[in-house]
Amino acid sequence: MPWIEKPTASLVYSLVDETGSNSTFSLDVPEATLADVALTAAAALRPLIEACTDCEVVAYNLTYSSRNTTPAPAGGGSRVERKGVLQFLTAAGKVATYQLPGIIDAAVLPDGRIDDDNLAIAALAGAIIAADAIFTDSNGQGLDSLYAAYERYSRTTKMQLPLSRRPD
Amino acid sequence: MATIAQQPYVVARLVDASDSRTEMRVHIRSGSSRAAGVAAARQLADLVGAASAAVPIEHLVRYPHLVRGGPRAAPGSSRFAVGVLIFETDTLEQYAIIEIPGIKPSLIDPNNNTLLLLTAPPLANYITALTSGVFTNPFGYQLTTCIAGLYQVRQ
Repeated sequence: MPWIEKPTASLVYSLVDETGSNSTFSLDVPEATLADVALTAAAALRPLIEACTDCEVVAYNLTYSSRNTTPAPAGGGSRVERKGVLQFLTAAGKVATYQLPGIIDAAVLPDGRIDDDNLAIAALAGAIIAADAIFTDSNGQGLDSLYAAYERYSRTTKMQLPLSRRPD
Repeated sequence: MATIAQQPYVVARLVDASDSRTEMRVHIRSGSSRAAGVAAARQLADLVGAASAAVPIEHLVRYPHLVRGGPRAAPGSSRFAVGVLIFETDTLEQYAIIEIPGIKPSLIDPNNNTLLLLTAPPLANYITALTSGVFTNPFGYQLTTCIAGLYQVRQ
């Protein structure tokens, strides 16, 4: 797939004003900037921002992104609302749940379970639970095993829809 | 004042046949480098692309941080009061616009309330940091000189 990295990483600060309304603004650093370097610069910049604003700085994040400039057409009839729910067990015995949008037909069994022997599902789950995997749950716990997998349909949200079809 | 590094995560964004879009997010280990994070994001996008009838169009790695104990929002502060800084870059005709929501009233020129006082110490310090060489415009051109500071009230 032709992934093209954006020329810069985005550093987005989130602020709230007296009423609790949120606002954000962004800065950019070259894409090749190491995360530690960019985050150190972001931390150093925060008090300087606070000196210029009456809002409260509540968060910031650093994002490196890449785009697929020539994506293949999506599969006919594919819908992001059709989820493959994959639940993993962590080393601490907790369940981490992920929803795979537009799961392929071939991976869904007649009873709604996901076929974890399907090659694509096995590859995805295997990469997530590999002993040396970088992936974790939201608490940083490694994911040890696939606990459950089933099909689920979610409600279409406004933000999922193409701009031309969003309700007012 | 504390800055709390939250768990970084990678995201694969997909589009389906109806042009609806959504994403799948998976956390990654704390302290993961940029290279490791970008590689994980790409790996996730490729694996999700194979298991989904929708198509990956973007992947990203994000390092979120929370700030606690900093100055609270001042009485009367409004996110709609925006300071706008315009920068030249190291490349001709490449500019950058950086905004400051809730700009302090003391940084607005009392003689012209559409302009900012660029030499006021808080703004001067901020501009010095922004032109230190780390920051660029969205096209990667390094910020060099602040050429204007405007005060705007947004709707």
